[in-house]
Amino acid sequence: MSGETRIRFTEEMKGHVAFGIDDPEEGRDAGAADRTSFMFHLTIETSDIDRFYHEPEHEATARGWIECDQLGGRLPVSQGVFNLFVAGDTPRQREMRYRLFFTDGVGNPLTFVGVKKVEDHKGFDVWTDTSTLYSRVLQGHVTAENEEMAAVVAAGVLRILKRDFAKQVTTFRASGPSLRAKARGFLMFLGLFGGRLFEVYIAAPTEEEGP
Amino acid sequence: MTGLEHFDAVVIGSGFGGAVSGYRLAEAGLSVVVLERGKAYPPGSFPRNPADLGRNFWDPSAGLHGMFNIWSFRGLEAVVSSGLGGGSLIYANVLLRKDEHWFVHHDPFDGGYETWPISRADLDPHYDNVETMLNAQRFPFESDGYGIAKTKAMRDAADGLGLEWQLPPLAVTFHNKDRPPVPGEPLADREFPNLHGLPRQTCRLCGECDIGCNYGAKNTLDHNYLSAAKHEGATIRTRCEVRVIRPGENGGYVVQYVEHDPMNEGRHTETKQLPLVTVTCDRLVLGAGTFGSTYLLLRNRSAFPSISRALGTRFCGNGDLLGLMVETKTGRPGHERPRRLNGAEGPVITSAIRIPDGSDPDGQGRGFYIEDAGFPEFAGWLVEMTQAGSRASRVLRFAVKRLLAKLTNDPRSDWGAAISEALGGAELSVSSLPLLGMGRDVPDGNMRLNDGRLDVDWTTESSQPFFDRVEQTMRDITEYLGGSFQPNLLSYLDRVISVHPLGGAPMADNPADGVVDAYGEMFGYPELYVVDGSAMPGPVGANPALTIAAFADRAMDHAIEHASAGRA
Repeated sequence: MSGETRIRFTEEMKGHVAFGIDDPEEGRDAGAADRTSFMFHLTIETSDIDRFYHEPEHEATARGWIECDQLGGRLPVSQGVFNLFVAGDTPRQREMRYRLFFTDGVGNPLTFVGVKKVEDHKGFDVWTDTSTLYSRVLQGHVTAENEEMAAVVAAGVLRILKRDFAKQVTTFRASGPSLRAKARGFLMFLGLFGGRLFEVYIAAPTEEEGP
Repeated sequence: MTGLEHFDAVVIGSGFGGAVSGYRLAEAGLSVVVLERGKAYPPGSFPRNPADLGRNFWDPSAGLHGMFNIWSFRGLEAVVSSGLGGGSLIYANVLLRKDEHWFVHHDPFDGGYETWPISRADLDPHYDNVETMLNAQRFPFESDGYGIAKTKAMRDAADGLGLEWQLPPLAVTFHNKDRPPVPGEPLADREFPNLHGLPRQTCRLCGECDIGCNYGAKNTLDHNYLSAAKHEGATIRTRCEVRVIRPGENGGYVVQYVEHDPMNEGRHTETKQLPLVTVTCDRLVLGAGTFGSTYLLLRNRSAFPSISRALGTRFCGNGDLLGLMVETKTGRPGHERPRRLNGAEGPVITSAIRIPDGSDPDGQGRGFYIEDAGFPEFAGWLVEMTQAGSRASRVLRFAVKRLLAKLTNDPRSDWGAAISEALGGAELSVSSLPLLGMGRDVPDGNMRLNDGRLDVDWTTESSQPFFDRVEQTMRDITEYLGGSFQPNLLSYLDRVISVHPLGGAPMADNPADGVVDAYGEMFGYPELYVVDGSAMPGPVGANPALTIAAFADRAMDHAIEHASAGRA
């Protein structure tokens, strides 16, 4: 449909993970202590940002690679999705979820699962939270339904640095029916990923109602 | 899974852990395959001419399928072996037991954490078993024709300095049963056929132990444990390098290996491009050596999510320190003449001086041994570098390559090809003799993956007081013999060369401290055993081969008990 606003951008997040630990925050600390770095470089693309925003089942695609020496170096993502969930009482509390299928250096299938909280209320440190990805690496190629059953290979926390976010903004591309639609797509992107401008988006009238 | 070859047990590696395990499991009636990455070396097949020796390195991607596998890390260089029989092909035959008091429970002296979940008493019956199988004999120093100069010099120095001296048991046949020692006497057959099907003979005192014994006098594992394993029905596959291990979906383990085709020898062939062969097993035994097993576990870590976080820890080089005595002299003051030590005569190591440890009733600090090191050919390049002889340009090229690697921050750790280039014939005079020190350094190194390669961060720093003491004792011995002492060149760079790397999958009594238990069985992964140097939670102190073999023998008691309980 010509009414859709597509957006695309490239994102890099970095941090530390630890093997043999299930809890991301514990994993971050242990991974920093034993210098186990982890990063991803993803190009995220959605065919319709409004549906993406309102329908959790409407997934954006994520293409790119993961890099972790302890898993075998730079590893291509064979299949990646990215979606937005309502996670709380109000639509202003959302969760962004990343699910990336890849294989380690010797060919073991793995799944990267990351959760980022997006909230908007007074006193909330928007930048810190929207730039923090609670991450786990699971054994096998695991769908959301089977996640609970999967063995955790590693856990940790990835961050996006402000400097890198500035770079991420420059990678933003939108296509849509009008300049206004494209601009709105950009604001939605900033709202989701930059945090501080979230309110700008929320204040803007939407053209469609969510389900 | 169907259609895949299945064994009761897969044993990876054929060194002191793998060979013992392969034999014990086969003898217990299990179907066993032993997978060895290197070649088989029958007596007479070890290279001797300089060109072949220069190519005798392991770096299959570079077309080198030879015996010496050299690794280079920040704080140490390490030499290990590739071939049927593993480290036994190049080791110096010493079968010392780990000192009773050196199974420490934490180090009370230098603060380095070290705890052994086993004791000397636990290992003693297994030490006995291994000594019998390896036909341990002491160097017959008192026999006619065996009173060689280097052994006498070591004894004299020990006497003069008041140090404890001994002729340690060696895995070398000097005499047939009930016969006096005679060089070059044909060996009597053992109770199982030799897998090479070739005759052997008693030690001819040629000093070539470290580059492979062409007479079969050295009781390497192919002549005993592996021959016996084959006799008991084990399948032995050489040139098979395991790349992938993982738990099977319905229990047991899956193992995938590549084959290093002799056709690829001398040709650049990326190992990772080779096709994988898959076998399955009910129990898996890792005996690929400290680097081999730990590297395999690190690379396959995501298939073992419950593996202990201690994976990669407790690395050390068993305190190895190589030194060189030169220009030793004898005779009264004013009438000195060069002392002929004839380092190339006799087996590589004949005697050992022991300096007690603080854990012993009469010692202090960290204990160690100093042994006469004959002429290990791998040390030739070190000597060349200190003497800057005729092959200086090759050495220089090697040094430049290494410098470049450092500058470009390339942690390329597998140096077979580069060292091969720098190696040449060592010129050692009759009055010089290398000394090999080893003992209780601090096991505080970590092994990890760095850009797909194995990286070790161990340095001499925390062990410096230990190394200083070893070096001082070497200087005392040298001075007593009227010579001057040359530490190896690497020591100026605070680096050591180790032939005894240990740790990485340490044993412990709990999964927080170790990867495997006191029987080598992995925490969280039943019937997966680690039986090589990587299971050592710290330095053995003495030459570690016998202790690794005894540990494997004990582990297999446990594995066989499990297996028969499962069948009952």
